[in-house]
Amino acid sequence: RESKLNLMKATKVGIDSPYNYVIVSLLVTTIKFLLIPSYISTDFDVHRNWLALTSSLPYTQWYYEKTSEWTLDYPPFFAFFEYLLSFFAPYFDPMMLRISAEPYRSSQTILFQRLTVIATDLFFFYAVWHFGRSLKSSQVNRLAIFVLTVANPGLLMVDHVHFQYNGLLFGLIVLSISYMVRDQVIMSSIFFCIALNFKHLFLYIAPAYFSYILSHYCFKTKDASGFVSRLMTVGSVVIFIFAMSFGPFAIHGQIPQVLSRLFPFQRGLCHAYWAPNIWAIYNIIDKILKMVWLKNGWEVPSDVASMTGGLVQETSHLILPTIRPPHTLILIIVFLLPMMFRVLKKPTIAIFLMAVVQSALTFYMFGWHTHEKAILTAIIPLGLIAGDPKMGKMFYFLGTVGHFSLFPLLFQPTETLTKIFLLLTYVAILQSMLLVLHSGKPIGLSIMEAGYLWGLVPVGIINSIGTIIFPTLPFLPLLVTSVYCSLGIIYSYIRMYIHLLRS
Amino acid sequence: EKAGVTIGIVVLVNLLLRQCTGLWPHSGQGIPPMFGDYEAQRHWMEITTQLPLKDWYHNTTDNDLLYWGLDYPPLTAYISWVAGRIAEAFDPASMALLTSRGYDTPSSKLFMRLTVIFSDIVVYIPAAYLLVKTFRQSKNQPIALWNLLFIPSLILIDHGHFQYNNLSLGPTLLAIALIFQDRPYLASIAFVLALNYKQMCLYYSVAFFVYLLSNAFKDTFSRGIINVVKLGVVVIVTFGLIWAPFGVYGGVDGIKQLLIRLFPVGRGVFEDKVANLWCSISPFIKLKLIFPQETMALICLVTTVVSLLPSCYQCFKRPTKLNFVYTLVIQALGFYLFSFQVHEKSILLPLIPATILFTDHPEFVSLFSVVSTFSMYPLLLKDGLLIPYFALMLLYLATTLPSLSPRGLQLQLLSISGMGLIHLVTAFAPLPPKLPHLYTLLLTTYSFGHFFAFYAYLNYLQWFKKEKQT
Repeated sequence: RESKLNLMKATKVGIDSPYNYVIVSLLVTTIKFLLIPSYISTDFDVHRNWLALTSSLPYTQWYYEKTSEWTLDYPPFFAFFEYLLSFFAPYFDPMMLRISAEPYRSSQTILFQRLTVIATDLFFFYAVWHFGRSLKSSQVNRLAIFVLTVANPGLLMVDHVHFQYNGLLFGLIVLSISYMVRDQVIMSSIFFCIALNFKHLFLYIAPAYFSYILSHYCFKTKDASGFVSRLMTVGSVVIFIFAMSFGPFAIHGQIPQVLSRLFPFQRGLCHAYWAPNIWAIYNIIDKILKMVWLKNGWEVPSDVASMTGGLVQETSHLILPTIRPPHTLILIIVFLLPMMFRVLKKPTIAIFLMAVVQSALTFYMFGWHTHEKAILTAIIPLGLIAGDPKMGKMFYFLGTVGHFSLFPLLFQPTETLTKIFLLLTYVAILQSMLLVLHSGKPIGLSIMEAGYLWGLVPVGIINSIGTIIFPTLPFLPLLVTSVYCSLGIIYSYIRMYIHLLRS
Repeated sequence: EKAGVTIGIVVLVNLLLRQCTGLWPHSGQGIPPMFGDYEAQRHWMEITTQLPLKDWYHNTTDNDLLYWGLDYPPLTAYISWVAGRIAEAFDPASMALLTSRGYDTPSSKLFMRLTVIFSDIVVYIPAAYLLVKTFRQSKNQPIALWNLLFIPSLILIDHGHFQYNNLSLGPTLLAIALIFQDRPYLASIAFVLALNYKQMCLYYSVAFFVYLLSNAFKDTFSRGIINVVKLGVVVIVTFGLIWAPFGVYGGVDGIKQLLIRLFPVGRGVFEDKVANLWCSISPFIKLKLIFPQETMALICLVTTVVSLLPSCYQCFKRPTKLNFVYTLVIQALGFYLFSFQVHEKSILLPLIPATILFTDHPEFVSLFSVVSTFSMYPLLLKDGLLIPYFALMLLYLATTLPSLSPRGLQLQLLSISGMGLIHLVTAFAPLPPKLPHLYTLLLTTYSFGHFFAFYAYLNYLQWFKKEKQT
């Protein structure tokens, strides 16, 4: 990961040598191996259960199994993926394939599952390399994009500590984007649909795809028949892939059940830790207003729910109007429309790439029960366009805040050092890569932006030892983190939206 | 500015690798009653903070020397005291006298790992950076620093097994840097500090002595005498300051007891299997049966001294900085190969100064580093550091192999194949029941062969290779 310029001269290796990609990949993979003994979240038990149920039960029961709370709530392709993995599981520990309501975490199980994440990340490396080749830029720039994408600390924290398979999933997305850059729209659609059928979270960026394909691919042809045939092509690709995925379940009339698993709506507006979006600000304003109301002796409706009390409950706002799912849906649509119109009017690839980020961020910003991990859906595509100076600066800013906002996921003492060192190292690498991408021009953060980022340090301190300093306010660390990060994320959202609409 | 960012990245990546290695088990984790080196260090924090100074090295009712009694010099004790005070402030139970034996919670482990990382940040890395700034041009500094920092064996021992080698090797690097800057008095102070952290740094003492002596006399003879006296005064005063509290509180007996703890002569010629001469010939010549303890110690002393003579002569005759580094490594290697009571971790002592030579002798240094890590494999396996061992080893090979010449590459791959073969055999072939130590001995003897070859190669370089100005 050293500055390519110095290192290459010292080791007599050319800039375009595949060796550089190997070294970077190996360094990141070494970190992943070293992270194996880290804290594991319940997502690990969820995936282990999916290994168990896909291997033990016929597919007709996959979406009905509910021995534990780790029920299948990803689309069918992911279930098939777990089924494939389950063939290798017996070589490590056959007992992990038993369905049980109790967690099963033998060391062999942990090793196996961790190894599967590390192995599937190889696909992510391939996809990012593929994307680099799609770009019309210098070898050094391609390598820089590779480094800053592959070393993403958010992926390391979420995939290799908390435990998920985002490397594999984002590999599909990056590959899809790569094909779009190469103007191979059908290939791009194929991979995007595949990704959707692995994790429906990628619906977040579907509006961008929809608008772009419609205007760039379908409307491109000047006559009606061409339009129809292209529309049909894309449509049939989409339908075909969805049919492969949901078909088996549709045949058995299980679609409503599957959908209820994929879109559970009974949880509250916010997770236990408020995802740093608009609702975090909304919540805090509501709380402040409540304090103001109480101080003035005005009437306040009674409410028992504490929104960051550690439990996921139905939340109701006291002073401000209570938000319900339909409100969030309306807001999302309202804020998606300008982006979609922009793409429809000017369907260039640059606009598309920005629209992907904006679409993901819109869902993140206004969504119902957004999980903080979803910030990666915006950050990773943004990193791909960090070659542009403005976008590079935004990536530096949003990337730092966004990755920091993931810190509460890793709350054990051991992980205190892990997350700090991961983020710190990445920020340094990112600075170097941005210097390379922008030909030595500094990133150019304004005083306020830089000051805000430095403000993350005291927030981080509060996050780590806040409960020791203020034992009477157990929710304070999460609250401060959430609200502070949401300021930065909202700021990025607005700035990037303006840039998208104006550029 | 670009170089500054690059140095920053080199440092941060190395810190990240160290911190992540720290996620793995430490020595003796969860293995009562003795546990391991981690518990020893924690125990030293316990006794230095809970007991008065005069008792630190003495056997008392509160201080059972059989349970990890202090056997490092005073600086270790002082630093343990500081760390212990901090630990006590956050978690008194972790330092409570007697009851905290085996204390190991996630928070306390975080603290302990943090002390090693902190030592790296405050001592080892700045020393390495100073050294690199002193003798490399700025465009080569990032990679030279990388070579001094990314040493898998050091990372695995300090941040995996758990030790503070960085606190003795850091001041050693500082001393070397000061020698390169032609500041013998400051260098002596730095070396005395290193020596007072771990007496194993005596492995370097002759090299420092010979070089400083020879340099002292580079002008006139009378000037030389004055310089030597000045050096002597500096060394004695530094020692005195560090040892004074023990003299004050314990008197002559206190000092004597300290020395007894530092240089125990009651143990055998080698403990665990180690890749030196005596252990390698032990299957064929049963040393313990032929020679009594004292004779063996004498034999070791004589062989060690003899092994140093050629190099010391060279260094004395031509006290160049390069000769100094050669002698440093040769002396440490000679001690490792031939002296009494050597631990496998002591291979770090010749290795760390050797990495200074990486840019000029990449094949030698890289193979030396790989074999050093390999020679400690039994220890690392026992600690549960199998995966970090292979992960860091693979990364190291990938980052260094391209720097090698084709012939060097061939040699390395040959050696690595041998190592790989030994790993495979150890993993899959069943042990013959009559020879329980066969595979370990295979490993150590294979390593010994390499180390002896390195020793010979360095002597050859020092005697026959024309020195170029680097």
